[in-house]
Amino acid sequence: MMAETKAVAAAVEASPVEVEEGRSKTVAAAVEASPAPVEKGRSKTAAAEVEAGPAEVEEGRSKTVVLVAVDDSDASYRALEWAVRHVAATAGMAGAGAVELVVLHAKPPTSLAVNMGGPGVSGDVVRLVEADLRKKAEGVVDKARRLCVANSVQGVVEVVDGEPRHVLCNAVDKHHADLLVVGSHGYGAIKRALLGSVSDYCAHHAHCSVMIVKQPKSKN
Amino acid sequence: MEEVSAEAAAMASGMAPGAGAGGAEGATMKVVAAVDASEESLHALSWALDNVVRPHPGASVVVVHVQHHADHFAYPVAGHGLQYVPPTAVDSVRKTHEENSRRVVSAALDVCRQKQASATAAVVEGDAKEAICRAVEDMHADLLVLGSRGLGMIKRALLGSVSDYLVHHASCPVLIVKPPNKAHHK
Repeated sequence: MMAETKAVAAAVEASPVEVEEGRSKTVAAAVEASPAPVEKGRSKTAAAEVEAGPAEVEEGRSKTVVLVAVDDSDASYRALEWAVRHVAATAGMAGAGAVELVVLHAKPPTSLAVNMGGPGVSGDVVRLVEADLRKKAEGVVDKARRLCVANSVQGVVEVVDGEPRHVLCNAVDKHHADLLVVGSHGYGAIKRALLGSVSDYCAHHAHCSVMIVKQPKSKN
Repeated sequence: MEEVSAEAAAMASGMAPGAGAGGAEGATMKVVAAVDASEESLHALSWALDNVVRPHPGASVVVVHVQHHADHFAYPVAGHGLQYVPPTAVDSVRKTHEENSRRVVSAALDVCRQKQASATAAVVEGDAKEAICRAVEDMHADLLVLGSRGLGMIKRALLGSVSDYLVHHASCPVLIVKPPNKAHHK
């Protein structure tokens, strides 16, 4: 179709003022014939796009993506429970206002765990640590899935390797999350300074709103 | 002061009959949103209403504003610098603060009304982070909503971040809503 129009345009350009009857008729006919199909085709595609557009846009707009971080601690399972009950109660259901729930477990890099053991670590130890981390990760995934099922909520459970704070913030970007839910260990100020708080980091660096679910402590 | 928060607590609990015991999850959820004059806090309130309160038919909302304390002779002006306030001027300064509070609270309640959420308001005085923390405890909030100014690390250390403090000291989950230009969409 594009080729046709081009040809027609060329023909029109080529035969300016001096147009013989025959030629002009043909050209005119060609000019008449082609824009119409081209337009129809174009408008059809445009219409289809427009039709698909709002629907897609609506889905994208009304679907809230909630990302919950779990790390095998009670605090994080409590965060998942809270999220599932209060924010993602409709996760997995179709329709406007739908919520998509993604549960993410950041599996700490084996190198990190092994380095903490000191120098001169043998290959066997590395393998053991790796296996242990993987088993723990599977346990976390299982528990998270069961929690979702128990609350009749559909969610995707993922495991990503890497340092939790970066894994979480990257995941927010990747999934275009609207809300990140994390538990908080409730470390005191000193522990936080030494160990570094993932929830603190995420609260400030994640590109979306962050919900920090803490353990209900008996207030001092 | 004591009066204000007691009144506020009474008003809040009177208006929200369902939400009573702390930790009461499920249908009744008490959402406390801290607002100040900033756009971010109103956006935080509006985001929370859309994403947390709307799916919860039984949720109640309390808007809390911390009014600047006007009884001291010297008070921080916009977080930095001190100014001497002669005793004669304290009253007028206090009136200005009250006027500001009224404006902030009515803006927040407008947002709630637009989203068809019933909300009550409370104005407390004192140091912002401690006052909000106390209010959250007194009201047995199930969720605290804060806006985030998106201050960088240094500003946060110098000016003191209310949200940092509350994340660690509030007695309930805390939701920090980022301003829309920081967030991806919406």
